[in-house]
Amino acid sequence: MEEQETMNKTLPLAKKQKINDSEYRLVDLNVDTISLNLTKHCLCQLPETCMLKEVFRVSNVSSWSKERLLNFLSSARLTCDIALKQQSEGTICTSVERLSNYLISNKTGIVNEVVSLLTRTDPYISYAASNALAEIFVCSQNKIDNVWVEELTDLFLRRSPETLCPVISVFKRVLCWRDSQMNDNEKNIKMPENCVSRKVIFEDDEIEMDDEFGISLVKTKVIEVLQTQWQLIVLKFIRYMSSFDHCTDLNTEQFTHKMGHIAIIEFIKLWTSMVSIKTNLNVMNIKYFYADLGQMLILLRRPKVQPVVWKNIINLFNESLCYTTTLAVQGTMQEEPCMLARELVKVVKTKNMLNNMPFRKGPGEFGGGEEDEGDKKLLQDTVLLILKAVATIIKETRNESSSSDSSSDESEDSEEIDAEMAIIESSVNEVLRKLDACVKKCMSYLPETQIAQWIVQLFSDRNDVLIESMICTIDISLVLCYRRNSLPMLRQVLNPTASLVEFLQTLSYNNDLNEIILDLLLGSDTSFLLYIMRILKFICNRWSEFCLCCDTKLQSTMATLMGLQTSLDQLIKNNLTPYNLNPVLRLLVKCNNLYSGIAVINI
Amino acid sequence: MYAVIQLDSENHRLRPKRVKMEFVCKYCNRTFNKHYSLLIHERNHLPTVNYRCEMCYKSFKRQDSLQQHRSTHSPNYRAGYALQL
Repeated sequence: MEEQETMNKTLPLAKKQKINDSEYRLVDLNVDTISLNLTKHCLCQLPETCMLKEVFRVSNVSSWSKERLLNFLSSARLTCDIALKQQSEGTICTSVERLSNYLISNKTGIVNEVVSLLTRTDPYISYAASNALAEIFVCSQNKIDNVWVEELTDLFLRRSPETLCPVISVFKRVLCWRDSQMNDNEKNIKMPENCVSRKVIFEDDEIEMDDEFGISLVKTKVIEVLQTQWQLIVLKFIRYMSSFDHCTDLNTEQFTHKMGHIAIIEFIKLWTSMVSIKTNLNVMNIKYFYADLGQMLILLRRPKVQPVVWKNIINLFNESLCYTTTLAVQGTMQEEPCMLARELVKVVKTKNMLNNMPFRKGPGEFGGGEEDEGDKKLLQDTVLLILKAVATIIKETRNESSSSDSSSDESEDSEEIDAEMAIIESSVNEVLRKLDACVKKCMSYLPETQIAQWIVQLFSDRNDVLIESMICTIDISLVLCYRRNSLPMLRQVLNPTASLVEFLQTLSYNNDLNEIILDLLLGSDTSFLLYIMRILKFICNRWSEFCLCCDTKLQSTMATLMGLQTSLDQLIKNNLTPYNLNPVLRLLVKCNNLYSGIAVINI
Repeated sequence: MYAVIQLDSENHRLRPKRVKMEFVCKYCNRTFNKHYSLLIHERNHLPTVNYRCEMCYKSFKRQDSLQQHRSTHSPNYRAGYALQL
C-alpha cells in the first residue's frame, strides 16, 4: 500500500507519455476501487491510495488493451450515470460530483479519445465507447464542448455506413434522453449516512422549467451542429441504400452488408426520434429535419426495398405527420408536414405505392411477415399514414379557406374554394378506393365492409392507432361529406357513427366498458380525449343522422355515454381528474339531453 | 404554457375585432389558437402516469382506481373479508 502511495506522488500519470507496468496497475486499481464504490452511490470513503483526480487524467487510451479499455469506459459511464441520477434526485455526493467534473473538464483530451474509439472495429469497445460518450454528453450539460459534437458529426458524415451504428447510437441516446430516464424503481437512491452530500440548486429557473436538469441545452447544441450536415448525411445514406437494390436475401449477405443494413435502420430510427413529438425537441430546431423527408419517399416507389426498411420509413413518416397530436388542433399548420402529406397522397394515387408494400415478402424475422398471414403491423402503419396524409391535406385547404379575407369577393372566394375542394374530393376518393382495395386484398374482409368499419377491425389490437385513424375519418368526412355537391358515397364510406358503433361493440366484449373508456380518457397513451371531443360534437350537431345510423344500437350507445357522464361527474366533483374534463362533460350532458328529448317523445 | 396576444395591425383601427390569442407549448414551442387545443397537444409530451399504491406497489392508470384499491388494505376491509369467509 505504501509503495503505491509513493508511486502516486512521484509519477503524475497525466504528464507521462509512456506508462510503465506499475502505473498501469495503479490506474486499474483506481478504476476498480471507484467502480466498486460507485455502486454504493458514494465516493467519500475511498482508501487513501485511491486518487480521485487521477482516474480520468489519462491519455493515449487507444493503446490500452481491450479489457483495460472496457473497464475504463464502463467506469466513465457509471460515474456520469450515478451523478445524473443523484442530480435528478436533488442530492449529490460531492466526491461523485468532483469525479464527474474531472471527466467533463477533459484536461487530457480523454473525451476526444472516446469519440475516436467509436470507430474501432472491435464491437465491444465501440459499444462501450458509445454508451460512455452519451452519458458524458448528457452529464456535461452547459459545459458541453461544441468540438466533441463536431467530431461526432464529422464521423457521421465521413465514415462508411457499416461502421456508424455506435455513432448513431450516441445521437439517439442523447436526443431521446428523457425517454430512457431511470424508472421509479431506480429512483430514491439511498446514500450512506456518512456521505458528504450537497443539495442541487438550479442556477437558472428556465433550465429547471424546461427540463429537469438542463439536458435540453445539450440536446439543442447537438441538434444545432447536426442540422448543418444533415442534408449531406441523408444523401449519403440514400446513395448507400441504392446499393441494396440488388440484394434480396439478408441471410446470404456479407457481414459488412449486414452491418450497413443495421446502420440504415438505426439512421431512420434516429431521424424518427428527432421528429417525434415524444422527444420534446423545439419545433424550430427540428424544422431542418423535415426538409429531406421527400427524398425518403422516392425509396417507397422502388420495388426492391427491404421490408424492414419500408416499415421504418413508414414509421418515420407517421411520426413526421403528427396529425392527432398537433396538426388536427392547430390553427396554423406548419408547412413541412403539409408538404409531406401532399407528396404522400400523390405517390399513392399516381405511383401505386401500395402495390410495392411488402406485405407478404421476405422472411418473417426481418419484417414482411409470413407467406400466409402477412405483416399486419406494416399494413396498419401504412393505412394510418395515408389516412393522416388525407386528413392533413383537407385541414390545410379548409384552414386556407377560413383564413382568407371574407370581406370582399366572398362569393368568388367560396366558388374557388368549392372548386378546389371538388378536386381534392376526387383525389381523396381515388386514394381511399385504392386503400380499400389494398386492405381487402390483404385481410380478406367482406366486400361490402366500409372503411369506417374495417378500420376498427384492422386496428383492434392497437388502441392508439385505432383512435388516431377514427379521428382522421371524422375530420375527413366532416369537411368532404357535408359540403355542397359532395359525393354521396363518401358519406357512407367514412361514416363516423359506424366507426363508433363498431368500436363500442369491440370494447363491449370486455367486462367493464365504462372502466376501459375512463382508462382511455384519463391516460395519456392515446388521443382518446381528442376523439371523444370530435365524436360528441359530431353527435350534437348531427343528432338525427346519428340516430338513424345507430338504428338498433342507439340505446346501448347512449347507455355507454350516460354511464360515462355519471362517472366523469363523480370524478370531477371529487377532484380526481388529471386535467380539466369539463368540456367533455358539457358535451356529454348535451348529447344526453338530446337523447332524453327523444325518449320523452317515444313515451 | 403561456399566451401571446396578437393584434391585427391592419384592421383593428377600422372595426373592433376579437383579440387573437396564441397559446405556446412549453415543450416544443408549437402554437395553438385555443387553450384546450394546447392541453390536448401537451398531453402527448407527458410520460404515461401510473398511480402506485404505497403499501403493495401495485400501479393503476387512474387515481380513483388507486383510491378504491387502498381500501382493500384497511383493517375494516380485512375484517369484512374474514366475516365473509
